[in-house]
Amino acid sequence: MSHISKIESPQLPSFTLSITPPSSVAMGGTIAIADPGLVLGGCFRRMHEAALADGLSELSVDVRQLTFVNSSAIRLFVDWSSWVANAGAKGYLLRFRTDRRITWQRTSFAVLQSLGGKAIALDAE
Amino acid sequence: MTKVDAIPSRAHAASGTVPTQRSSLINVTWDSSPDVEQFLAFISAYTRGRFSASLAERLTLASTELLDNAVRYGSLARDFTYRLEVDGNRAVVCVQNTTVRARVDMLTAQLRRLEASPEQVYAAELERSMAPGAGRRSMLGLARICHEAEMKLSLDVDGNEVSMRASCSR
Repeated sequence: MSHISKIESPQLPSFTLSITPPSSVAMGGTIAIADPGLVLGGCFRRMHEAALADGLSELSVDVRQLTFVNSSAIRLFVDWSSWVANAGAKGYLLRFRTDRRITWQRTSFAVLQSLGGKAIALDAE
Repeated sequence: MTKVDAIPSRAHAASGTVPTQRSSLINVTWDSSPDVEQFLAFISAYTRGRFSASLAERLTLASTELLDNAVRYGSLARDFTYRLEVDGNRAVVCVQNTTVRARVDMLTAQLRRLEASPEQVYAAELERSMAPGAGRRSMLGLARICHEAEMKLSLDVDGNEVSMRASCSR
């Protein structure tokens, strides 16, 4: 059983997380809680560590149904991108699937990709 | 949410017309910290019912970020006021609260930076939060309002009372 398949989705009424092993994650809803790092930061970190432990070459994170996030939640994706960028040769490609029509996705992930270098890929639809 | 002063009548909202003069659409006062997540659901539904999808998205972002900033960076008193207005051809979001002088100075300096180059400030704020050991307190919310929502920010200060306004054409 892969490490990523063992990750449990956090219990947040407005947010959904769906994990499809071996290498796909989909998020939906909204994140507007005051401190999403407390509630979701651990889960994001576990997904990163699971991807490393599973030896994935690529992890796809589909955020197209995640319609709104506050600034604190954007930092969850910033953190994840920096973990991958700092993982070096043992790391994996973090591929975000985004929707160009959703403004926060269009602006944030373009910058993240430029900051994360080759560790971050973007599929904007 | 403790006090709602102005929400337009159903008939007016249903007509799809928006007043051309300055008009308060929503005026809410809290006497304790608002639940920003709950307010997001309310303002998102309201603006989607009244404005184009694009404008609703921008107003929702500005409303949430301004209110979140007011709550996060503190009121001296525990009171917050939110207003959504139309002023001629502009839609205006205003959040009023009280704060300390140092915060006012920081906001003033940040608005000056944002006025010069919102996109650069936005990228810089993201980059700053990516650095090891970066603090959680950044100005990303204001940068998002200017760059992402393409709204103009202004600050009015009266003693310890600050009113932050975000506006755009509608």
